[in-house]
Amino acid sequence: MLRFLISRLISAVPVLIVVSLVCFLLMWIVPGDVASEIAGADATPQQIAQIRMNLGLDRPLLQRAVDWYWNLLHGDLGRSYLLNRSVTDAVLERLPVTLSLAAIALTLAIVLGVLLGVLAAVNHNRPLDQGAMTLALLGLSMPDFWFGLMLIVVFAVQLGWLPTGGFVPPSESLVGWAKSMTLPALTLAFTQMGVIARMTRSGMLDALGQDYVRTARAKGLSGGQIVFVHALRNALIPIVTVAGVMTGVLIGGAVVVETVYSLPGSGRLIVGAIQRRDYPIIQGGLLMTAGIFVFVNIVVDVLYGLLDPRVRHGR
Amino acid sequence: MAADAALPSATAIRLRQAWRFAVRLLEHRSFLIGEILFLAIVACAALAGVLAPDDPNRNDYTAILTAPGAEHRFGTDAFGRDIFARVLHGARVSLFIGLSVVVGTGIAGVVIGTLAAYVNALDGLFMRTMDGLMAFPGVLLAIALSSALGPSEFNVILALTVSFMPRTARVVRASVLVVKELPFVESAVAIGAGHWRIVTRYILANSLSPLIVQLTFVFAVTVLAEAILSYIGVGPPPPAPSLGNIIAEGRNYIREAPWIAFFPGIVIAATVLGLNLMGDGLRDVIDPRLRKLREAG
Repeated sequence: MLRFLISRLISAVPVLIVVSLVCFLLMWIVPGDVASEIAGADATPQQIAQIRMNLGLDRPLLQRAVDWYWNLLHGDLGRSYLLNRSVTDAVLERLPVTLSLAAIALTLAIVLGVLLGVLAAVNHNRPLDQGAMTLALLGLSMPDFWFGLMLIVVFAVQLGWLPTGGFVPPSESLVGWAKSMTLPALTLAFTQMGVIARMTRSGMLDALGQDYVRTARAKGLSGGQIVFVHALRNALIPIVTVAGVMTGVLIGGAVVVETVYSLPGSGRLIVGAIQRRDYPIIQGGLLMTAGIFVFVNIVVDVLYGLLDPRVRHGR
Repeated sequence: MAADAALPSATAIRLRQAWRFAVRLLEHRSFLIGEILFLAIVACAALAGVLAPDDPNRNDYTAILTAPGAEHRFGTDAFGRDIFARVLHGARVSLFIGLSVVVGTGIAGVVIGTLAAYVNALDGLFMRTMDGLMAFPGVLLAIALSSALGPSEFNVILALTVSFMPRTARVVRASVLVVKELPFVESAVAIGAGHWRIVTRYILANSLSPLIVQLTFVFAVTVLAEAILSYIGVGPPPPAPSLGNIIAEGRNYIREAPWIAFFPGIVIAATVLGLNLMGDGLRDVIDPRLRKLREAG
């Protein structure tokens, strides 16, 4: 197991190198003068020169790359111009909102998706199956931010049950926090629920055709026991892998959903930075979210290795 | 069919195979529904000028924020622009971007995937780079690239192509790896065919089916991603009516004029749904053939 973990960690190294290189080159592909873009239209030449020096834009690319990696190894991602503070601090401060939103959405997506998938598999080729799969496909096909806007129209504007946006920290009011997170989490979860539902359905159909299910049926177990204890357990294994990929999709999706609902997460920080051309924040935010995604995938692989010994010992 | 006196020509066999493939696809119900849905949207977008003669960028201050009705089927926005015309023209922009990204990722995927699978020395470098690009969650990489490159339709296409090409490269690599070990490739090597001929005539010709399925899904994801980029403000620059731009503009009027954001979203969902259904159908019909191919090898 330890060997598997180590080999998995080593394989993440080239990925992280590519990720950091892309983030570094991001400022290099900006056409024109980055410093004057950051400084804005009414900046003096001195201010622009100062920014250029701070960013190291006056030095050769190779030296900038060396500096970038050196600072990176010390956890220093540079300073944000507009916030006038360290990028690492700014992103870290906002990250809990994004991660909690993604975690709630992931839980919702798995619970709803598995239920929908089981419902479809048990009613294979009947109207309930087709209905469930249509719903799943619909979720996959909708733009999440648009679905979010429509939820706002119905539940916040028309019915007035939930706020149209904004954030209440859980330390202030738990109910307020739950209310502020409900629509964003539903928005994110609904689009991902479809993926889980489709996988659960095909996994369940596969499992229900296996010998052990026939045996369970032969010894007189109830339908519920067969479905939930025997078949579902085996159908769930691939979902662990999908959950890893999905974490990435959800973190990426949270960027947009945070913008729709004005949640103060790292996604909104990045989007705000894009609109104000605050490149250090864009670079740092991108690097940190990708880093988290890589880490989550390692955790998922290790979990998968624990669940299925075949993975651990190589195919 | 073996009763033919003379052996049928290679072209005749190909044609017959293609015909049978098309019939099987059209018999697949979800592919058919998806295709009808997708083609209907393509037709509406192509005929935008006929169906909606209004100029999508013409302001009409006598008809600001009009609800959908006889005169304006989908209503108007804050400038009195006709949403129906904007949505149809917007669908054109979105479909064009989608198609361009499909072509871009298709070419990049074939080149990178084939080289990685065929030239051992390049495999590690190419595929680790693709892994690195895939490590950016969701459309974050496309958002960052598009914002760095600056807002233009071309840059959106470029950003999305770079973000999605790892998927196509992986698919092509996987199927080339299988096909290059099959006996007919060995025979081609034995009769002294050059690398170029082996790759193009023997390997690629037999390993592109999974790519076609993948490209259908890339098209679907691109339509969604373009909308996200536009919504965030790094898509094709306004006043060009891309579907995402219209939703972004509608966000500020979501209370008094929800129709502005509603209709473009429906068109996006219908387009993506159609493409997803087509992709599912293609996969169902293509996969058994691939399985047979593998068993034959």
